Amino acid sequence: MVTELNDIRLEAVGRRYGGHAIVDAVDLTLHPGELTAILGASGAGKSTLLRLIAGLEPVSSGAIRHGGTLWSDTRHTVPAEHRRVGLVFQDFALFPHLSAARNVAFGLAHLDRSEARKLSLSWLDRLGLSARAEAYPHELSGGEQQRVAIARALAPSPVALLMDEPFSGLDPERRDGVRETTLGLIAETGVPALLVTHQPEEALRHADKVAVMSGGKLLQCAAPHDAYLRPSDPVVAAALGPVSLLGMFPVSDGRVDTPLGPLAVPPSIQDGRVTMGLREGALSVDAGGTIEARIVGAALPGAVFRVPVSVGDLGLEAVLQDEEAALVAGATIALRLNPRRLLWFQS
Amino acid sequence: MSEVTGTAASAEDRSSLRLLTHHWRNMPALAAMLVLVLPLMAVVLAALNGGGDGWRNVVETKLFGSTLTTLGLLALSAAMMTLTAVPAAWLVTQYRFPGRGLFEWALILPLAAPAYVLAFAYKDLLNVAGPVQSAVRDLTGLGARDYWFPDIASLPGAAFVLSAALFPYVYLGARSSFVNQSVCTLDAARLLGAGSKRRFLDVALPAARPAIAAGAALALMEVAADYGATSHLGVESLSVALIVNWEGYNDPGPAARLSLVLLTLVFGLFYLERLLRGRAGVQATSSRWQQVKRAPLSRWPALGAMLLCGTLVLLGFILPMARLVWIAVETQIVPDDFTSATRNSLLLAGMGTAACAILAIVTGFAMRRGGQLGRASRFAVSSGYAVPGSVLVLGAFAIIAAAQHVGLIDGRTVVVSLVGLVWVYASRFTAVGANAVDAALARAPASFGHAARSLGAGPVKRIARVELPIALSGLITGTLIMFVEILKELPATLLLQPFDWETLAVRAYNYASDERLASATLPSLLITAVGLVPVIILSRALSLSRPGRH
Amino acid sequence: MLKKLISGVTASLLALSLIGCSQDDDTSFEAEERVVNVYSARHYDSDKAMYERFEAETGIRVRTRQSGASQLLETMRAEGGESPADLVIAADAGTLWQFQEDGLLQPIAADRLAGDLPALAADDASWIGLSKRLRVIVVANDVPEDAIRNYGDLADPRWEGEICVRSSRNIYNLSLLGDLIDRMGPEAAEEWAAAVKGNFARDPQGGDTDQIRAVAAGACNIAIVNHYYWHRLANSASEDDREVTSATRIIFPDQSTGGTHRNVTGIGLAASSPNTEEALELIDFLLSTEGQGLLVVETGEIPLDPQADSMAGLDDARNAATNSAPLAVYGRNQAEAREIFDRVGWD
Repeated sequence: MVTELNDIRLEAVGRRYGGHAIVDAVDLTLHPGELTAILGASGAGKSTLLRLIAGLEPVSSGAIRHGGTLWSDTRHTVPAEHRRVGLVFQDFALFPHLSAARNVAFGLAHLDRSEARKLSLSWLDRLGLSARAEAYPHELSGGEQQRVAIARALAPSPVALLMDEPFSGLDPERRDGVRETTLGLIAETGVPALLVTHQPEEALRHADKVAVMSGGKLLQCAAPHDAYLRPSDPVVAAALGPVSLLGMFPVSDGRVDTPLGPLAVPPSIQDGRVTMGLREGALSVDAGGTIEARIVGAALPGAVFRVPVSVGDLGLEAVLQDEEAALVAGATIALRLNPRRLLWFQS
Repeated sequence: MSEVTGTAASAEDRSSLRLLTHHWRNMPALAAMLVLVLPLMAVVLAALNGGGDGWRNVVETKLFGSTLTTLGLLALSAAMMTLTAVPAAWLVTQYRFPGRGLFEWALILPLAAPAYVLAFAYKDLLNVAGPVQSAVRDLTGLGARDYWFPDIASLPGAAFVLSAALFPYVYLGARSSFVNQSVCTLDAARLLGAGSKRRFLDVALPAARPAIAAGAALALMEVAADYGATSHLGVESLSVALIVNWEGYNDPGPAARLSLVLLTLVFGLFYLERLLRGRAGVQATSSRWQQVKRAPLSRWPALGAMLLCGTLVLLGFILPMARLVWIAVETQIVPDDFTSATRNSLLLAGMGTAACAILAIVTGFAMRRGGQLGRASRFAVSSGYAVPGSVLVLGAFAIIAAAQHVGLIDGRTVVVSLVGLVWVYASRFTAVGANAVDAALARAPASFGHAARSLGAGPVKRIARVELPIALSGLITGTLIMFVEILKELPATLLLQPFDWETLAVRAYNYASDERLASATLPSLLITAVGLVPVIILSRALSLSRPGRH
Repeated sequence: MLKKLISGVTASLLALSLIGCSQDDDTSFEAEERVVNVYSARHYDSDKAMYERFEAETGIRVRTRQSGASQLLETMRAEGGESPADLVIAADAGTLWQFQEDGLLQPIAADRLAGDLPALAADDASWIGLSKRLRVIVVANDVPEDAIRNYGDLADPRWEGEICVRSSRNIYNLSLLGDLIDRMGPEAAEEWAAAVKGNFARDPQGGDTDQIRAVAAGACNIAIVNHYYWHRLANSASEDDREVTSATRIIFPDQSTGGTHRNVTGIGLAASSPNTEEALELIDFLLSTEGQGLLVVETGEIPLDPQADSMAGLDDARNAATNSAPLAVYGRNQAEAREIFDRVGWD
């Protein structure tokens, strides 16, 4: 079945329940061939957003469209069974009384028996599960179950694929492998995909777009690079990676006095007050640096060596270029600031 | 009956029979099994002993016909109960419609009234001289022999009455499964294009099948063992035949043998269900529960739902009770002094339930442990339930006679009769509680027990702090059902009642079988009223139950 | 809430068990009290009044075990020599005969009774009759007078599809056929049974009262019943019941073929009776005018004592010409009667 792939547009979509806005005026567009990741804390409304797009719940305000078709608005909701949206659950939700092949074939009722079976088996094959086609869910490992769930969602050629933390139920060794395989497969199909996750690395690594939700609102949706370097909000910044927030400081004439010395702010920042965010790697140990700091503890080995320092009263972290450098706690060192890793938020 | 799903048996469970008896921790379970199985063993011995002329005659005239009749009753009732109670359970748990909350608990009301009371009422309502046919004759002007009217005193009629009385078992089984099913699988089905009909038939129903089958098994065992309703409607099932032949030829041998035939049928049913289930799993792969969001029904489907549920409650409870009340009022029956009969009924039921509860916990745990002990416990528990009460009492008589013979007891004193009767109740009804305990422990993932173990809890502590509360919560509903069932029990109580301990059930039956239905109405209504109390408590527990906790 | 429920239920159950245990402490205090234990296959509310009257007059407490006749039989057999039964009361001589045959009864010594031993009794006086019951023919009013005079007339093929009667398993029918075997011989009796069976309006179902109602409703025109069922309907508080009797009438089979079949409600003295003195006193009471009246006034049976009270409208019954065979005949022929019924297919 050839599926014509279209945009899925959410226009000021909201969902209220018991007087409380679980989703609040969200604007979002999913494009074919694109994977959008949604990050956010628990209760931010991510799962509800998925259910709205899937048609499992009606919207309280706004509209959801698929291409030219209206899916949901305040007056009318196209039922979930008519949308052909694929949804992969965190706990797989496989049908326990059906084999893997039958599970995958469940959404293929419009085909005749043998066609459906052939298609089901070919999908299982693409996910490396041909040998397990006749096994029942309780006989499969977590990773295998997840792959069956994905095959099941993709087999009916859906117009969109929604995934609700699909990899968090897997043990870490398997997670990367399964994720690579499945996300690669999804990209092949070109289906607009939405991935809800609470792991920033997952989002930054695989997604074409990254969106952050908090308190029901969609704070920002942008390419990973942009979102990481230019988050619109401290919450967004924190969602995408570790950040130290310092604030607030008064701005005048494009300059601000900070504990790290006087700095220039980007032109977008107006006079007033501003919060400063330091990304990992904003400060590095450099003999030629202008910031005076004191070493507070031992260096922490890792992809990048980090050493805790204090600048004035502030406890911060600096990156160490020379892994073998001898550092003495209490000694004074110089730090260099990388302005590209500085974030500025207007208060 | 619930099934252990692929938990690995530990070394101790796989131990041989010899080790089984040596392992002190298995002692309570073994003792319980012995208690449950002894009356049945006595019956088997009687069957092997007896026979002779009486049996030959029975084989020639009764055996084939009554066996077919029982099979017919089982098939018809199974069909009637599942086709009505399962959809009702589905509608009530998944959708919103006017009266849904009421129907959710009203659908178990028929549990309060015994099947024989329903038989009394329906026979009176539907026989040729009764109000329904009289109305038909008045309205159409036809004579009694000029029209065809379904005969309630027939096999389909008996199947109808038994189904009306027993469908709550199937309803409860289906309901517990539908409530506990992960909503996610239903959502997944929706997204894969399944409409409500397909979600019910292809997703919810198959997953619910074991629970439905367990409920149906309980109900069908009652159907097979029933004497009061079936005989009142003139149907000669195996169960009726064995008592009649006991009466007729005054020899327990043929009765004991007929009961073995009955048992074979029932166990055949039981194993057929296990076979049908095959390899398919039951436990949902997730343990995250989401509250069921009930979708509202539009006008015509809502009407249909109300009609189905309303009819079930009407036929199973309201109509028969209303008829009995009407008769009592119309014949101006003077209420006799029922306090002693009521007290006797409550006391016997209380004692029986206590015995059953203890045995249920012990055997329920054993069943959950699996392995040889588990299988043996399951067998012991089910066998008692399958055997009709009157046949168990035969076994009890034999045991009492033997005890007397060796000088253990002086005779059938009140105490001996009480112990014997409570023993019969225990044999007969422990299955209900044991299955409830088994099911409750099964729903708790094995990881709970393992978690407790890893936290250093020894076996006793684990049982007391983790498994016992889980078991008890399952036992609550089982206890209530057992109490009501013992209250309604007829044949064993009739035969083994201690002196001056006449119960309400015996009273009602004696009157009705003496064609004094008017006098039977008051004890019947009283039994039902008393039986309503645990049923209402159970129903409130149902309404409050949340998925994952029920 | 659940915990409270558990504790509540457990507590009640324990309480009930304790009460139950204390119950029989109560009953073991019989030493001072005189009792008589009656196994009664008869279940009438009026019996209670009867026993209470006896208790008031003699101070002897009557304890009853009410059950079906065959259950009582089995019980007494199982109890053997230790049976607490003093007396057995049953409707129908055929039933009492079974107790006699099993050796469960002992002869009632005539010299120990206050009054005379009734003529209607077992040959060895192990049981005696207390009241009479006749098996009669009830017909719809539009059956012509004199069309049916006796049991033999029922075999006439002109009554095809007209006869309603209860199951052959019932002792009343067994005793009737036992009587007919005695009158006509087994072959003729079997012919009669076959012919009557051929005249059935429907398969045997229900009790005697149901047959009378069926006649009134028009499902058949003839029924074979015990007389007191008809009289109870005639004296019922319910108008519907009385209407049934006004649409029907009783025929007492005449002497031309041996008279109306008479049977008794009888009482037997248990072989291992522990309270024989008290048992005989109760028998005396039941044979006294007062006792007889209490026995039959609500049941519609015919008292053996002509001076005793009885239900209204029983004159015809009291004066009916009955058979004269010894009651033992019914029991002796019972087995053969059963086999004849089975052979002719009268279920």
